[in-house]
Amino acid sequence: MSRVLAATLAAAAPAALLVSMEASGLVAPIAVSGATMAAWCAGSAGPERPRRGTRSDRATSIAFALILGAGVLLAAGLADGAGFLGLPRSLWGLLLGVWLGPLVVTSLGFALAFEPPDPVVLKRLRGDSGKHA
Amino acid sequence: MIPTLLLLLTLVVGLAAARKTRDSSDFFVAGRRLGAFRAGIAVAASAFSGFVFLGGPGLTAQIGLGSLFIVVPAGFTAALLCRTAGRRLAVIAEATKAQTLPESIAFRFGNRAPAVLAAVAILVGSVIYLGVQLAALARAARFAFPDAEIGTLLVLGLGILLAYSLAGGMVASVNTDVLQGIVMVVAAVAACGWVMTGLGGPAGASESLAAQGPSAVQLLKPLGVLGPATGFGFLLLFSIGTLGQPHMLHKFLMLKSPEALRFLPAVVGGAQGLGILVWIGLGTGAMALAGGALRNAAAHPDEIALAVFSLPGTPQVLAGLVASAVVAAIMSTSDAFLNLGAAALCRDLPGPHRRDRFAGLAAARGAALLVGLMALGVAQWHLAEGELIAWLGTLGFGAFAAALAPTMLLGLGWKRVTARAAVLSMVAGLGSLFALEMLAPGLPVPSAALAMGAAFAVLLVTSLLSPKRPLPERVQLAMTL
Repeated sequence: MSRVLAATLAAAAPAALLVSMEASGLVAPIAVSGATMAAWCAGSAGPERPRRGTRSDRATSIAFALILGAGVLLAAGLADGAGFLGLPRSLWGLLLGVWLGPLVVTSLGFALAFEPPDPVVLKRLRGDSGKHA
Repeated sequence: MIPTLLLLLTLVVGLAAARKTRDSSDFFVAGRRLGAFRAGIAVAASAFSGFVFLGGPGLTAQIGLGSLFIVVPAGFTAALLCRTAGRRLAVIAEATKAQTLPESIAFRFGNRAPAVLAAVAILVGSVIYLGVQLAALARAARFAFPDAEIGTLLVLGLGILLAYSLAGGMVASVNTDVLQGIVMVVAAVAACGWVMTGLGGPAGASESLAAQGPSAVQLLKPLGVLGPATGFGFLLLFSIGTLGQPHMLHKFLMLKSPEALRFLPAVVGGAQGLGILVWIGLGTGAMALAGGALRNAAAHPDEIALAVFSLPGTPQVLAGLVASAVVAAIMSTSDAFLNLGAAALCRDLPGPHRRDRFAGLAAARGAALLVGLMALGVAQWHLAEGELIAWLGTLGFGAFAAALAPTMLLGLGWKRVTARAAVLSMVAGLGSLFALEMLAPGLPVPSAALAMGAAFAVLLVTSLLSPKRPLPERVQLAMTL
């Protein structure tokens, strides 16, 4: 019963946080980019991974965090004004910081840092699969 | 003419795949033969639906560039998918020959309950999503043939979809996705280029909106007429929520090897990045022209994308190409959901003892037919109600995000997550989404973002409160690779 109660309370907390975002223009972008980076890091820095990631993996994550953070803050209106080609700076923040910058950094970074699954372990897993199927 | 050619070509490519479809593995996971290019284009094509090509420009005309918060996360979601759930799904598929997401979930948790719940969510969501796509197809066709009965167009669209999907299963779906994906990318680049050239580039669009008054200038800002909570709520939902989209995740079960993951984000991200140009180009064009001839040309906001190309002076080839891209976007998503719904019906919902009875190709085709007929009912309802495609698309995306994203992100990667936590998370996600939609419509934050947050919280808290239990060795191995 206490678990159900705790789960219900936990469900209400993020809802309250997100509704409160309406009050401040900067809380929302910071919270959202933080949640996105947490999801990104869950891929390699989770508690079940045997390694903490290679140098290029960490470099990709840091570059992604910086670009995304800057992009969402600009998109939220920080330092707004007329920018390149007469478009608002905030729009350039969204297009370059949230769309194109992360597209290039994460795609290339992922390809460079990619480590294929250990073939020996994979073979063992497939072999086990045959025995148990 | 060009859309008709595309439909004929789709039929030919799809029906040719029937020869390569010999068993359920071919029907549901394309025989597990996909490399990075085919899988990447298929992921991008199935992600782009009528939502992007019809709903996006219509929504942009209404709320301004704030609608971009829905599509710009596509810049990094491909790598996010591959890095987290995609890698684990590819390893599980390699190890267990799983053909569906619920089968992968059942392997991870050693329990049928979360798998059955996921299958129910996928089946219901697939029928709704497919229904909305069929309605979008009928609406697009009626724009081209204004005198045709919309019910007839609906049945015709479903007939074409069923013809190649039943014959060739996922092999047909992937092969046609590649064709359709290429058409979409070419059309998006051409459409964006033409519209922006016509408006005098970004600066011309800016001046054109400024001439319409201060409220029109506001449309050109990233938040448009949205509040920060709504805009960033969309960003949250459409970035992390991608991890719960079954039509994208399912493609990871079709890879010929986990090695194919390396260049998948570049292919998916590149194709999606170019495809998004249609949203930006047509959306800006729709905003700049929304006050005049465009409004008269479009009977419904979802027809605005097509209306841009019916204005005088538009090259016929370009108009045909864009109409083809709309058809391609709808078809590529529709065949994926038809297949997913069928898999849920004949593989995931029957118990282990009854599964053999539905293991053949005939059962798979029968299930796909049933899903198509159910979707026809949803499409008729949608057309009668007249809701925006973007609204229903967001709701469908949100339902999958709230139900599946926590389990796919944390459940596949964190050993503490239990079957009970996964079940409670799915129930909390879907339950809170429908409760918010029914009881508190019009919240500043998208209700699906709140529901997804609730589902994550329930998964985390329930897992932390559950006692630690050792996992079977195979599951541990699959989670550490």
